[in-house]
Amino acid sequence: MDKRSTLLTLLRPHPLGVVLAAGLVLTLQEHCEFVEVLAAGTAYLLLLNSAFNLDKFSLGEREVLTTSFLLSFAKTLGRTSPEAAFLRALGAEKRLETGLGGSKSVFGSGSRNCSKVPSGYTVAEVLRQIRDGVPLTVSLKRIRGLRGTDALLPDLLSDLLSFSSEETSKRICNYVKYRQEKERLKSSLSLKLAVVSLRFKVLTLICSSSMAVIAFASPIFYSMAGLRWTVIPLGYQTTFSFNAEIFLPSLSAAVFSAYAYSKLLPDVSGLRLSIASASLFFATEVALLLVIGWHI
Amino acid sequence: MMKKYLKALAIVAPTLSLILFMLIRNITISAIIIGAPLLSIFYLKRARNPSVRTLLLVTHVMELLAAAYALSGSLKQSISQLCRIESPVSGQFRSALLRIRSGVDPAESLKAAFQGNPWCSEWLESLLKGSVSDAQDLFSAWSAKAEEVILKVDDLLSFVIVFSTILPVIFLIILMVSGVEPPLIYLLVVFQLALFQGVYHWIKGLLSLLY
Repeated sequence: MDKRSTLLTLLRPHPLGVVLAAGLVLTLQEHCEFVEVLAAGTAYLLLLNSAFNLDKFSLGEREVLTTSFLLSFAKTLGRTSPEAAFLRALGAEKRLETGLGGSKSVFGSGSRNCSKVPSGYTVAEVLRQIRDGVPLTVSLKRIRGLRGTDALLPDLLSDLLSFSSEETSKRICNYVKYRQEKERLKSSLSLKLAVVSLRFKVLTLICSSSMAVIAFASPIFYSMAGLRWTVIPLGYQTTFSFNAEIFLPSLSAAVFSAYAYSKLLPDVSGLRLSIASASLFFATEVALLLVIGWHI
Repeated sequence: MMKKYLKALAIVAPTLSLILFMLIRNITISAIIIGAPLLSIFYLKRARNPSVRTLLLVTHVMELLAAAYALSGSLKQSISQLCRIESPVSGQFRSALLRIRSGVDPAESLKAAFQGNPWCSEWLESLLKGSVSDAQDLFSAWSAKAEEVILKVDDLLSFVIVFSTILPVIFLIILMVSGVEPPLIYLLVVFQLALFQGVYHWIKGLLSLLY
């Protein structure tokens, strides 16, 4: 993260941050001077921006050179020239994907998960070069923009192909084994994350509802401190009425928790969860007001 | 380094100004206000535990080597290829390559390159003894480390979730029973924010190892 993006994270106003900061301003305006309210509101907004503008954790992009393509390439490599094997593997991959999902292509475009294809010299360029008669060992060296360990593939494949096709085939199979192991680990992590996500959603909603109950029962808690809002002198009707001063900060805490922490879990939509959290908070508060108001 | 300071300042300055403002408004609540950042700092220190950093580094290096070894079949060529790809440890691979070029054994040079870091795994020792004969050995070692990452992520996330959902409820009651003025309840958000900022990059780093 460079200086510019750090500043942008801090200064770009996030809609939810603005709403929560407005809540703080509303709460403070009766207690403080205008300058104090402005200073606290701005500081609060900057803090909220710094959390809300952070990138949400998302699942990795799809490989440019798919596992099925690599396997097909390795299988054909011993029997034909590298260029012919490459073209055949691409053809097989295309047929497979067209059969499975309509217009998906081997290069990763066309599917929902593959919107971010690495830029640079891609597999499509290799295909064009092969058709123009350039050897595969040369055109592979020009591939750029692959991510993670896939970035190792073009150079090493090119070196191996110059050495021996059989060895290349063996090495590709080894790399596929590595990918399969990674897939197994990914699915194990995904399973654990799914459990954590569910736990997070449930706990967030419980937290939101509990906050609403505490906000509603705040006069009882405050009476323990012996400061104000004691139940007996004011009477139940006055005591258990809507109090924006307590309602807004409690709601802020519940919504913040739901939105910010959802950024750590790939399967949780922060917006949906914060809306659900706020709605539950409102619903609990209204239900308590109605039920207690009706009984008193 | 400058970027780190700038980022820290960007987060700390508004937090401090907000806390100071709250302090001025109500002196009695100072203990709670100071307590919240202290708790966050405690948590941050826990997250900065060298074991998490080591785990991140070791798993990352292992994965890179396992993938490169699978493709090249030689440690020397793997190291030479790993110098070319952008990663937090490419500097170490470059220094290992320099040693290899001056005639040092690849496994020895790799160990020397990573000596400054808290990393001395059994796997590296086995490399030195020459017991790594196949890419499968590397996969098994890397896979075992990655399983550790998964457990760590699970632990850390569960801990954070408890902090972010159950603690605010308890703190809200404590604040009210202590007779804190309603605007100061916003400190709960500040506390949650500090905790979130502290763990975000660590959890993201651990998760991105496998995704």
